Amino acid sequence: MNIVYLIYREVHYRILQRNPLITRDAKRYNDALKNALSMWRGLGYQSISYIFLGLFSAMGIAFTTNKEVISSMSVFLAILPFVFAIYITAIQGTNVVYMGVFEPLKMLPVKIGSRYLSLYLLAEISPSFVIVLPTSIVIMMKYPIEGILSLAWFVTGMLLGHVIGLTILNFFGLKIRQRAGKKEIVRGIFRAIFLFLFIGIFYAIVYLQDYIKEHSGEWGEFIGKYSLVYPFSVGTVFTPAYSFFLLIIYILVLFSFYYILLRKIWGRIVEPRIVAEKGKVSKFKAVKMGALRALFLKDFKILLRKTALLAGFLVPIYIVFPQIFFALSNGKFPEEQLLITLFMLGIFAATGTDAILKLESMSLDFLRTLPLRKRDFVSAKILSMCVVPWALGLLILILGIYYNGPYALSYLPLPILLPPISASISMLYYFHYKGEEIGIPDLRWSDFIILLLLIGAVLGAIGAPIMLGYLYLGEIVAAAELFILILFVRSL
Amino acid sequence: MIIVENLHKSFMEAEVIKGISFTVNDGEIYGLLGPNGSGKSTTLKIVSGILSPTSGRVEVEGIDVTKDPIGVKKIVGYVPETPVLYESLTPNELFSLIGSIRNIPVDVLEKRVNRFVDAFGLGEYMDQFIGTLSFGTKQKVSLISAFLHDPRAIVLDESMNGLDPKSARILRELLLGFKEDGKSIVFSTHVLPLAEMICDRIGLIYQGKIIAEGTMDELREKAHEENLEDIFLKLTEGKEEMLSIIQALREVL
Repeated sequence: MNIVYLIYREVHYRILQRNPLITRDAKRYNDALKNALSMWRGLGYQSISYIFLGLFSAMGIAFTTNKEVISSMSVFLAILPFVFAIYITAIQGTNVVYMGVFEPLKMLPVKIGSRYLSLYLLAEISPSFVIVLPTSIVIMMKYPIEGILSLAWFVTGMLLGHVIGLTILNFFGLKIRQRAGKKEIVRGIFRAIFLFLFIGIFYAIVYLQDYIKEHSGEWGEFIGKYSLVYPFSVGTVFTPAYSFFLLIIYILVLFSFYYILLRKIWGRIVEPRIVAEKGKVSKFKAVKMGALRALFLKDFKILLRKTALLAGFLVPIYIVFPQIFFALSNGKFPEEQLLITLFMLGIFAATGTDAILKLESMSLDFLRTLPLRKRDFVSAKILSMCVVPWALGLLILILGIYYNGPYALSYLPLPILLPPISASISMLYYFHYKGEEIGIPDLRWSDFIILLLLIGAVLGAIGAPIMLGYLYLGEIVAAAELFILILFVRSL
Repeated sequence: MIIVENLHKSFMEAEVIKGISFTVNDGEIYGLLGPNGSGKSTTLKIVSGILSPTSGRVEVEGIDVTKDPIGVKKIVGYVPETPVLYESLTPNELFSLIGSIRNIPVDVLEKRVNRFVDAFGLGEYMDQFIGTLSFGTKQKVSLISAFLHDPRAIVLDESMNGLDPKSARILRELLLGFKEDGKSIVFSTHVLPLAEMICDRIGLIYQGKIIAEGTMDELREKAHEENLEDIFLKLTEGKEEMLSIIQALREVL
């Protein structure tokens, strides 16, 4: 436990040192330092910030006795710690290894040091449990066995997210290729596509389950009655025997994978897998481009090479996958659904902030040696943050056009304008401090909640005329808002 | 010209630089020597516009680091003691990035990079990810990165670390060449014979203050010692302390 405690301190101390919003203010710095140096204190504060969300969710369940309502609300809640666990494990895991926090451990006679990495990451994930705990307690008070089962499922969901995050880390975060080349970009794009498909596998299983239900008679009916896949499996708690059986299978499979992954990951931390390739000695050829484009391309290359960081864009992906799934399985994609999806994608484009800034990681000191203005750095980051939401938005729009005809093309400005609007708001929120110093703000989930409210208000001004039937007016408002935000960003 | 006047720097309550003053003239190499933790790196980062001073005046070629840190970064080439680079980029990509940010014309950039790459024998590593390079090779990449824009002032923080003898020699000759071109050079090192060999003047920094400054002859006279190591140990009151430490270590090992 001491080592986990040490890793926590080390990581949070380093994060703190890179946050100019805090290092400029002695009082804020000292307060933040206390949280950074004490794991229990830091996690405690984080848990408190989630408790309201947890209590709010539990209240909804407290006032209903309808088991179906309780089941579906639990399923929705179960997504939170699960996504949280994948996100923290993949992003923070990559970051921690890249920071070199494990270097001192390598010299010690430690057999599987990655268990400390895992325990540290689980500690970081643990505050998200506070979101679901009140719900479990409320269910427990009404239906004791079902409540205990829901609690067990939430814990399992967290572990499942952690194991998926470790898998992403193992496959995408730790391999070192020695040489770059033309093929390498193609390889990176394939890795990114594979990662997105990997994340979408749960929806594919649900789809498969529906397919079996429709085509396999009695046996299919049995499978189709209950969802096997987390988070839908949480809905089985009102059939305790089946739920318990499914839970045991989950736990057995999870722990086997967990053990194998820990061994593999430690092996790769101790001795990174370097893929050596032959290359010829080439003369340096420069390409003329502006600072903004150069920085954007740099981010793009790093993202493709450190594919695990793409997990930072999980939230928009998780919003889009159900919509695609819905459209594919029902054969329709109503315009209202299309609009809602585009707006959700716009709002959640801001969740890429953490990943896009963590990408700088240890290299921040290098950037600080260059005559780079904060506004250029921020502008490049906004562009980089928009790549995934833009791609997903266009994909959704193509689906919309396929199901609704060419009229859906009139929504085109929305997937283009909404992501940079929310990305700009996010960046302005974190980089509004005076001076040119480039830093990495400490991104807390409480900040994200404030940010989402801010973005919600700004996007609301676009959505209001659209809801009243004035689509083009909404799009003009969006363009005007983006223009104003660009002016703000350029004045940083 | 680099002017540092009554420089103070505090990190929260801890004051690490306590009123340092020195000047590096055009065409001069100034060595900043001192024990670990004496404030050398902090001073050099402030001179390079990376950190801002708590108080005092620091000017590089007439540009105030507090008022215009970006202006200072445009004309300074800074090499940190540990190379901090984008590990998942290749040297090729990194130099292109620097060229774009520093707005170096493509033909000039290509010419300079290819010359430096040949000089430091980096050719075969140009398409390799920086993360896979050895410490010394990374240090070479870091050095080239700092020289690409032909800086008017050069700040090196223990930059000889990890270099092979040939590259160290090239760097030394390069610094002497820069000096002839009239550039101001300030560097810190623990390799005292090197400082003795190439520095026009030396400043000894100890616990955040300059305790002695001058040419080698002036320092010899002040400390009544012949070589820089003895001068250094005497002025930083380290000689007797060092002997007792060695004695204590011998007792436990």
